[in-house]
Amino acid sequence: MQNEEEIKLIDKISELDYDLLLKRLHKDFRVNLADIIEKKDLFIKQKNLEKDIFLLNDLNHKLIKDLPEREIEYLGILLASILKNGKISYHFEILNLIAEKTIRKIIVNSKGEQTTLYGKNITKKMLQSSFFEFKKGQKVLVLNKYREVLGLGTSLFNYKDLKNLHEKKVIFKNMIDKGWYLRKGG
Amino acid sequence: MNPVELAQKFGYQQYMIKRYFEMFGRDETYDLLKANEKRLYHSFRINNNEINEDRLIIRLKEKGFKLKRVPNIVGAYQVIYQPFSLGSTTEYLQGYYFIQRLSSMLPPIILNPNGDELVLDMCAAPGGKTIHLSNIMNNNGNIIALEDDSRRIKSLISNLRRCRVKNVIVLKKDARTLKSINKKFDKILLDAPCTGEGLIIHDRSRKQSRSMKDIKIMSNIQKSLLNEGISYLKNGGILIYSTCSIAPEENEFVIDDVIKNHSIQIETIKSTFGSPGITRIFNRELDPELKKAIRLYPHKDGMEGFFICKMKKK
Repeated sequence: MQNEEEIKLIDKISELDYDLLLKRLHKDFRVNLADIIEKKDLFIKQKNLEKDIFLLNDLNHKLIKDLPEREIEYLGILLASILKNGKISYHFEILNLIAEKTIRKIIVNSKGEQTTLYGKNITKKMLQSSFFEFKKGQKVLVLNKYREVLGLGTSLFNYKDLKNLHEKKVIFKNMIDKGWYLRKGG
Repeated sequence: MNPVELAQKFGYQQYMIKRYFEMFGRDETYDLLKANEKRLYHSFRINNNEINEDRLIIRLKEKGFKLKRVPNIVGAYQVIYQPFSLGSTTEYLQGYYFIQRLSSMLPPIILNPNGDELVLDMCAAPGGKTIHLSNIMNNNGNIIALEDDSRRIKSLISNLRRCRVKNVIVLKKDARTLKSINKKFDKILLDAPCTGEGLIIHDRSRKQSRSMKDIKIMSNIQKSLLNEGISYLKNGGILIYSTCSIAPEENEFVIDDVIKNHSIQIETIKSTFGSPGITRIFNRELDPELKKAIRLYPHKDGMEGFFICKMKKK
């Protein structure tokens, strides 16, 4: 059994975890992670059975070794978490980073903006435009008129089927949204 | 009116008014008490790493906010009218501004860190000053932010994330024991926990809620913090000590006691705000250099009561 002291709580991302994030981002958003972030800048912080993926600058890298690892709560930019079941959970910071690189995004009107930030789902009436012809089950970035990321949604219908739907029909399920900062951020 | 009558009229504990008489004299005490009955406007500071100031102000005005720019503090605004909570706008959630008291904006400005320096924020939550330091450093360099309270750490991290700060490492740590950190710092901000006597203008309950015993307890904590902070400051490094208390025991007395044991000089603060630090009070003669510290008062500066001292390690 590994001695508790030998377990590194913060370490460079492994090939396996990097590959997982890379493939997931490509599948969900057709974005190549390597175009945005260098692998050497990604670090993992172990948290029970979960792992948080952080993006650090060069100075942060060097500094970590001089700090008490167990007391580090947060560092750099939190991009994503690898959950106990091996799935990736995205955080707002990575959505901000990929927003310009992906076409898998929609723009909502002001009512849609408000609704999203309240943690609610988006109806057909709130959809102002889409950058692509989404399919049922696909993830989309939800943007406002200024093209700022509000959150992440999942489409409940195919784009081509929208014309047959009632205006009040929910067409995107809210996955995460920046209203979280008020509701749960503390 | 005498102290007893004034205490009764304004709802303070008598000991406080007696102390104010000694600190300010009768007339100025009356001015302070009257000013504490007024309301200060809410204020915020723009996260200029994330948005252009003019663009943000246009967006907020379109939503019905009436704003007034604060002279001499870059990116600071007072909110004259808010149609709904300033903390619930899309712009807030995008991290474009931080709601903060004006006096709290001054310590990071006075510390003025560069983008290649290592900075320690000893009591960081909820993060307004940490974010401000990061803004001044253009998100470069490194800030180590300490906080010991789990609930306050949560709000600190949430605010750092919201404002898209990149150069901060948060440690859950009591800032009185820094020995596990193998670094010395170029600059340190110690915005120390205090009894909040300067915040009566926001919290009327403070008139009755704290005793001299509380001030003494807090003063001892502040001395431990300052002592530890100075020990981890590089030679030539700068430390800013601040509190939102106007009690000399939490400010000048703390510095006067601690710097005797260190090679520290008190530096002049270039500021258009504030009155000089106190050098003689309650039968005690203090280091005359303490006059270089600044004190802010509601009746003089239109801000919360606040204290700031800039120190340099020789």
